[in-house]
Parts: sequence; C-alpha cells; structure tokens
Amino acid sequence: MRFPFSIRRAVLDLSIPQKLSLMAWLFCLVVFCLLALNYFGMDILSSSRAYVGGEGLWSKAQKEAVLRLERYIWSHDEREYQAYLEALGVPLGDHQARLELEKPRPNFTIAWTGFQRGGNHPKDIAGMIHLLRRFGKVSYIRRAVDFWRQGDMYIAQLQNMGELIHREITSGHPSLKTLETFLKAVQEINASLTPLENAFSSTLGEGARWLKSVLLMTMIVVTSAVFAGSLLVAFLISRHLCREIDQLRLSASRVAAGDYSLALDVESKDEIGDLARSFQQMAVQRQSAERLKDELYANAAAANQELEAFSYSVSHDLRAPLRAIDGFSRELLENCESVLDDRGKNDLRRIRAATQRMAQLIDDLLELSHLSRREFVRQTVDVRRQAEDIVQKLRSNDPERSVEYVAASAMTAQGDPRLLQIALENLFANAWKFTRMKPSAKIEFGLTRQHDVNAFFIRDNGVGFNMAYAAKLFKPFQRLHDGKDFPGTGIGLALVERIIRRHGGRVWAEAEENKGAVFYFTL
Amino acid sequence: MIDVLLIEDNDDDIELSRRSFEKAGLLAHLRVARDGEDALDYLFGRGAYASQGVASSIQLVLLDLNLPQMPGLEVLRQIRMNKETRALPVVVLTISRQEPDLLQGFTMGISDYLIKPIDQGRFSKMYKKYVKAVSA
Repeated sequence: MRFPFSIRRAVLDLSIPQKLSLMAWLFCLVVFCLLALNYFGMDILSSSRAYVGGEGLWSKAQKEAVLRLERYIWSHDEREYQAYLEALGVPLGDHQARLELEKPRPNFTIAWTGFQRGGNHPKDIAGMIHLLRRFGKVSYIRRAVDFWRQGDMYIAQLQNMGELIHREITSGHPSLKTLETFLKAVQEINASLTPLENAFSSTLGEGARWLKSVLLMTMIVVTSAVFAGSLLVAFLISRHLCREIDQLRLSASRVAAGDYSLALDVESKDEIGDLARSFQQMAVQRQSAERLKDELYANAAAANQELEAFSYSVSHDLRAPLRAIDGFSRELLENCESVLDDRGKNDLRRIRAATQRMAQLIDDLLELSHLSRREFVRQTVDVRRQAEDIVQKLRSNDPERSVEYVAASAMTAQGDPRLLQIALENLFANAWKFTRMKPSAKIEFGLTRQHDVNAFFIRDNGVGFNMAYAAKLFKPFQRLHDGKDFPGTGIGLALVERIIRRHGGRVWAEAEENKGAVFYFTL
Repeated sequence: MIDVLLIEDNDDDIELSRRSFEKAGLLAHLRVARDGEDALDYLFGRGAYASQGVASSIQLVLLDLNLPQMPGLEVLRQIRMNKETRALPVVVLTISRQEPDLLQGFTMGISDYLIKPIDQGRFSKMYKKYVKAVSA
C-alpha cells in the first residue's frame, strides 16, 4: 500500500501553517460541494419547470389551433385558417427544436429559434436545450420525450388535415358530409393529443420529484462524506501534532531530570519536527556538557584532595627541620653562653628569629590554602560583638598601649561567622599594628555608604600607606612597610580579600601616609 | 627507673626531647622507641622483647602522631585494646592544636597532648601528674 503512505508522508511534512490551511481548505471543500450540488439541482429543476411551462404553451396552442380549424371548417373564414396556422407554429417550433437536438451534432441556433417559436422565454431556452442534450437518456425525460414524439406525430396529422381542409374549402364548396368528416377527424386528433399532453407534464412532474429526492440524498451523502473526510484529516493532523508535542514535552522533562534515554521518534519535516531535531541536538550537547562538568568536578575534587594531602605533609615535613634549627640554636644559646661572645649570641638569636618567622609563614600559607576549601555557611553574625572581643583580646595582649576604639551601635552582617572572625581579626590586628607609633591611636568600626552600597569600614589614624601602591595591598606576601618597624608576613590582607570574595563582596582601602587608613568591605 | 616511653622517629626531635628531659633531670627515666611496632613489642613483651615480658615499669607514653609505617593513632588504639596497657597514660606529641589526628585522638582516649618541641617546664608538670613516684 505504497500510495497512501506517500500521501501521509506528504501531509505530515507540510509546515504547521500549511497543515492548518489544509484543514481550512477541506472545510471549504464541503461548502463548495454543497454550493455546486445546489446550483446543479436548481438549474435542472428550473429547466424542467421551463419544459412544463413549455408544454402548457404547446397544449394551449394546439387546442387553439384545433378550435380555429373547427371554426374554419364551418365559417370558411380565411382569417380563422391563418390563426390556426399561427397557433400551430408553437408545437411545430418545439418539434423543430427537438429534431435538431436529437442529431449527433445539432445546430444550436436552429434549436434555439425552434424553442423561441414554441413561445418559450429566451432566458429559459438555453437551459431547455442543455437539459435535453445532457439528460436526454434519463428515464423520465426519455419517457416524456416519447410522449412528445407521439404528440408530434398527431400534430403532423393535424397539419396534413389542415392542409387538406384548406385545399378543399378554397377550391370549392365541400358538402356538409365532408365537413362533418373533417370535423370528426380533427376532433379525433384532438382527443388523442390530450392524454399525451397530460402524460408529458405528469412525467416531467414525476421526474422533477424524483430529481429532488435524488439531489437531497446526494447532497446529504456527499456533504457527509466530505465532512467526515475533513474531520478525519483534521483529527489525524491534530492527533499527530499532539502526539509529537507530547513526546517533546516528555523528553524535555526527562532531560531536565538528567535522563537522556528517550530517543525522539519524530519523522515529519514540519516545524515540530524541526523543533524535535533541534531539541535532540540540545539534549546531546547538554549530555556531553554534563559529562564534562562531572569530569571537571571529579578533577577538582581530586585536585582538592591532593592539595589537602600536600598541605598535610607540607606542614609536617617543613616544620620538622625548623624545629631542629630553632631547638638546637636555643640549646647552643643556653649551653654555650660562656663560650659565645655577644656577636655569636646575637647571631644565634637571629637564626631563631628567622626560623620563627618561617614557621609563621608556613602557618599562614596553610591557613590561606585551607580557607578556600572550607564549607561556607551564611547566617546573621553580630559583627559588632566580634569586633569588641577582638579589640579586647588585642588590649589584653598589649596592655601598655592605650587605643581609643569607637564602634557604631548594633551592626550585623550576613555571612560565615568563622570566616568573618578571621577577616576582622586581621583587619583589626593591622589597625592595631600600624598605629603603634601614634601616641593617641584611634580605631573606628562602622557602617557607611560608599559608591551607592552599604559598606563596613575600619579606620585607623596610624601610619597609612602610599596609595600609589594600593594594588599590592591584597596580594599575598606583598608588604608596603618595613618588616623591622611593622613585622608581618603580609598574608593578613590576602586572607581578608579571599574571605570577602567568598562572601561575594568587595574590599578596598584608602589611605594617606602618616594620617591613617580606611578599609571598606561589602558582603 | 625507666617509666617514660617516647615513641618518636625524628632524630632531631629525639635529641631535643632528651635535652628537655636532661634539664628536668629525668633523662634516666626515658626510653626511646623509633617506630610503633617496636614500641608495642616492648610494651607487651613480645617479639624481640619476649624474654623481658610486659614492660610494667612504664607509667607514661609520649606518642608522636607522625610515625613511619604504623601510624600513631594505630599505636594508641592497640595500647588501649590490650588489657595490660588499657589504663596507661598516653600523651600525644603534635605540631599544632588543629592537627586532624590530634582531634581524632581526643575521641580515642588520649590523656593529654604536648606541642612539639617539648617544653621542659610543661613536660615536668605532665610527668609529675601521671607518674607516681616509685616507693623505694
């Protein structure tokens, strides 16, 4: 059954607007069929009405002709004869038309004039000709035409009779008996014609009724068939569309859940088919992207693990020799006090200081790397409280210094409490350290508005820094001050920057040398 | 006299510990084992020490967490599992308070911890705390 399949293929491959207009066209087809059938029916019925009317004219004219002829028989009035001839013209005209139309290749002009002589309205004649030519074989029409033919034969007889009577009357005085015979003959013809005339019109009537019911049936059947066909096509198309859309939807939700198993089975070339194919491409891409993501994720996790292990061994293996250097230097200092001169003792002290710095550096490095691997929680943190505790501890570790501390009331932040603690510790430790030289040191902590955002700030009136080198501030191990005046590994601000970045915020600073510095941060 | 067992593998650390012991006057009380297996053999009186039996004189173990081969925590576990040494005080030596092994050790029954290098003062306190003087 190849043929239906290729039609199905062709229809399914139409674009969606085309499919929709196909359905619209099918319904138009229904309407068109109705209209066509209607027109056809009306046309035929009108023509048969014309024939009935024509028959009426025919029989009236025939009766008139007979009447005139009878009168002529008695009156011998030539005028009656002329009137008889005139009236006879009607059936003769129709006869002429019929004869012409029964030829295989009729001269329609002759037929037309014939019907016109038959008294038919010019506007009906075309339909009458058409009906006879087209449907002459239909039973009703054939039967009616038969009656007509028989009538025409009697007309011919009447014609002969008329001629005979006319000849007799114009040539002499026919006897009464002759006239009576003439009359009888004419009346016989007349009597024979009447049933034929009736039969003609009643047959046409039957035919018209029959046609009416046939047309009705045909209309019902044809429109039902076309209607049903259109509905079927519409239904198939919409079912096809819904099925494809449904598949697409199902596939989409599966892919969203990570299940790539359902293979789309959409073959058509319309918009949905294109969509499905694009979708499949997208799913394939997504799948490989996910695989890539999983790979990267696994790699990152593996790298993290390696880093963890690395840090662990770094902290052990780097510290062990440091312990030895520091420990034995101390031993030397203690045990060889008497043997060492001041310079020797100082040398050993330098060694110890250097190793302690290195130990601090290792700790800082480890903390920096550890920081980014910790889990991040976000909650409300009372930073004011944290700051107070930090300042308190700074004070207790360094009781000789008097530092004024001002903080805004009630400050909270949304962030990781442990990480914020570390950041604040570093910022305050810096403020504390760099105000060492100022007799009236002051540290401020508060909230302000900078560049259209709310930001925390820590301000000190310490030694400040050169704004030209501000870019180095937050880089690890970059120091802007002499290590002798202000000891430190330079890791503190790098820690702060990393913590603030983890919170999705920004940290920046402004300063003036010997006037002080302000550190701002957002979260 | 020997009542302290130090389980440590690093030579420098061992030497520095000896110096601390010396300053505290406790050098004679010290025995050093260089790895976990040897330490356990000595404690339980097995292997090379089978003839000497259980080392019942040991009253304090200083355990370095960073040992070669058998890890420090494993040594601790075995000490705690053996009924002879179940109650033996074990002080672990660690490099920092945040060391993960130290944190796990807290759940495994360590008695205390010291940060390396062993500070002589702290160690003396610990000794006095855990080692009862042997009545003559």
